[in-house]
Amino acid sequence: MKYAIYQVGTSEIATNAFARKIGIDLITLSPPNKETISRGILYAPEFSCFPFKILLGSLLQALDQGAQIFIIPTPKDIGACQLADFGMAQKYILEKTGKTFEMISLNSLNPADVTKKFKIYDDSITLKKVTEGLIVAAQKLSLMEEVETFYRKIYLSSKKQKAETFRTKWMKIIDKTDTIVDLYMLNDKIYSDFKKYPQIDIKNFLKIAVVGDIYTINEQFINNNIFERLCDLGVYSEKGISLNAFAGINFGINPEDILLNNKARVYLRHNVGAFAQETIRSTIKYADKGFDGIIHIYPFSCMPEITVRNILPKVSSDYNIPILYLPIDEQTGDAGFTTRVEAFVDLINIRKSKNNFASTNQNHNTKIEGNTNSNNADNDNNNDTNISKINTNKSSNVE
Amino acid sequence: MFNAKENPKIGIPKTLFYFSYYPLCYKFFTELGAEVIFSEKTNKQTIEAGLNTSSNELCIPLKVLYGHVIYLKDKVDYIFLPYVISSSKGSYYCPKIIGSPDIIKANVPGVELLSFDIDMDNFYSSIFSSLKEVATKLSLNPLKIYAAYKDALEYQKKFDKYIAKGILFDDAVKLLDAEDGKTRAIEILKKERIKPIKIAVIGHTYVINDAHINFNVIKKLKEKNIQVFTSDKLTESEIYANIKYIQKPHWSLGSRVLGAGIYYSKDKTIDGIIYVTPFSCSSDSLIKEYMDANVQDNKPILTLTVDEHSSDAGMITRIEAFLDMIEIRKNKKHKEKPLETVNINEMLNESSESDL
Repeated sequence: MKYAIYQVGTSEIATNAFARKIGIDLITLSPPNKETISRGILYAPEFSCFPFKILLGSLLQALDQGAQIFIIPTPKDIGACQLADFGMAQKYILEKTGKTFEMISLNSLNPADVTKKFKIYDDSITLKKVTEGLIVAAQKLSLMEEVETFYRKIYLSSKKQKAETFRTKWMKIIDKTDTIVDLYMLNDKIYSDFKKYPQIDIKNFLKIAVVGDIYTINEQFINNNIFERLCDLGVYSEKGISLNAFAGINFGINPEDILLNNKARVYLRHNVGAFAQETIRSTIKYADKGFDGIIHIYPFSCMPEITVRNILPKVSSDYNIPILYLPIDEQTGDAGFTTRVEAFVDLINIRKSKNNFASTNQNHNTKIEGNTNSNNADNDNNNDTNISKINTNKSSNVE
Repeated sequence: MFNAKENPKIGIPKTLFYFSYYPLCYKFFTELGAEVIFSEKTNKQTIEAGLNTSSNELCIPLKVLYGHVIYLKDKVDYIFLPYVISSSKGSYYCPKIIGSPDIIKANVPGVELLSFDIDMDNFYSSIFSSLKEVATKLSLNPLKIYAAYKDALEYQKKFDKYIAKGILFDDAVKLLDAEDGKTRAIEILKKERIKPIKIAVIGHTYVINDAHINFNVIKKLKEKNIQVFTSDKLTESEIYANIKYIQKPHWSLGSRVLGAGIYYSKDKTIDGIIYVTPFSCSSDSLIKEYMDANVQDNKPILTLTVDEHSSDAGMITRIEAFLDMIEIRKNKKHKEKPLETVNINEMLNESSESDL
């Protein structure tokens, strides 16, 4: 029996490990590309969200490669959205074209439930195997996330090539390491390797957090590789939500989180679906951390994120942080996307230098009273130097 | 009764759940001694006010909600807008609806909302917090509130009976106002019975009952001497009896539409189904796939997508074309039967000749 599963970004490494642990034959799908999208659009309903269309495309690809059973993770306990209906709707759509497949929809990632679902098709799958597989997969997801954040930091401190070699090297190692203990040790190894590269002081960079829908943030083909684009522009960026959230990993309860929850609940009382509340939570978190801007990225007609999109303007004005809204669908052009991101970066660049300038202005005022003309001149100079500083950062990175 | 304000004015927007829980809300607040003010029926001004304040990605019912809230804002003390989370175990309302009070709060400045949780998924934990919220806001005794809720529930049951009989929302409201209007109820039912063509209009309750959003589909059909049934007519058990064989959709409004679609497709007296869906409703788009796969008897379905840009003429054309199609289909069915028997007889004769 051949199995297939939805892929998001680098999740393949984790799912492959899971498949190896429980001993099933999982098909490796190529990451989404133009063909996947065009095939998905062909069959998907017009107003279904963009991830649905892409996943339908990759499902078709999996069926071509001979997949018989499709695993669909729809964890309802996290707060599912449309995703809960994805599997069934896709089955109906494909039945129209004469294609059939079996479906395992994982309503929760509780090992006992998962084992029960798999046992129907394969009797050799045991609870022990599944538990181990899930832990290894979760570990790999968080390790990969770590590598990604280091990648962005190395990109900013030294050249792109170096960052790329760092990433490919560690991704390979993560892919090969398969035991819980070894993966646990890997954490320190990655960190010590990262320390060998020149370190950056984040304070000197523009800081942007990308928040929004989990699929769009983590699938670089769909989000037009936004994190690399931001690195190109010399901006330090952080992910609002990573795939860890989907695996449901929460180590301990952080008192800060409770505080943050209460802050977010003022704006959105209930988690309306998927990670809607998380988006608001992370927006507030990054605003408090002193980030310069937020990019809210979501697929067109995504219901939870559109709810959030209508609330975020209020958060933006309350926390005094600029937000760029980027809805994405199959019509989104590469150039238009880049232009908007670039314009936003320029804008917050100017805003930041103005703010710096206002604070220096105050200092001046306290020291020298009167003589405002010279003050202004000073400030203009200050402003210029600020911008040029960041510009030099940029140019060095692009090279 | 009220400590803070003698008779607080409570505004109820005539959209979303007004169409299913109008009697409940009305009775509840009047029992508590509040003055209930309704917004106007959705009209051009409502939509325009909504469009000016909302973002363009919202669906039309939510845009309309903005308009209603803006209309009520200065006329009342509180606008009643609950967090409607779930109506039964394991199924939820659409994120935009659950979050609608928050959306309104964030976008309409100076609006005072009275909102509490309606969550049947975990009823017992939510009911107390909800009671507490009303009690503190209106400064009332929670027991009194519970008593008012009980009374209101009785009133709602009367209304539900009318709806279950197939009486449309507007008529049901009229009947409820008359209270002793038993004769009138029979009149309405009599009028309905004569009509030859029967069409079911299905969709979310706030779409099929709001004449301005759906471009008066029901009135247009009635003018053409057609008997109209709506998905509201069906009780919860009738809905779930029809969808228990398939994986239940995540959204409760979606499962209602799906159940209604399957129910009416099984009903041989119904000639066609009109499915009214708001533009960019992503839950409906998947429900349509569910429906296509499960609808029985090749029942014709017309999907009408509505938003503020749709035009009246376009709707009329599509409905007329659909009705023509149904008429042709109906005539064909009558004619086909004798033709078929003749063919079979001929074939039998031919085969018997060749055998010989």
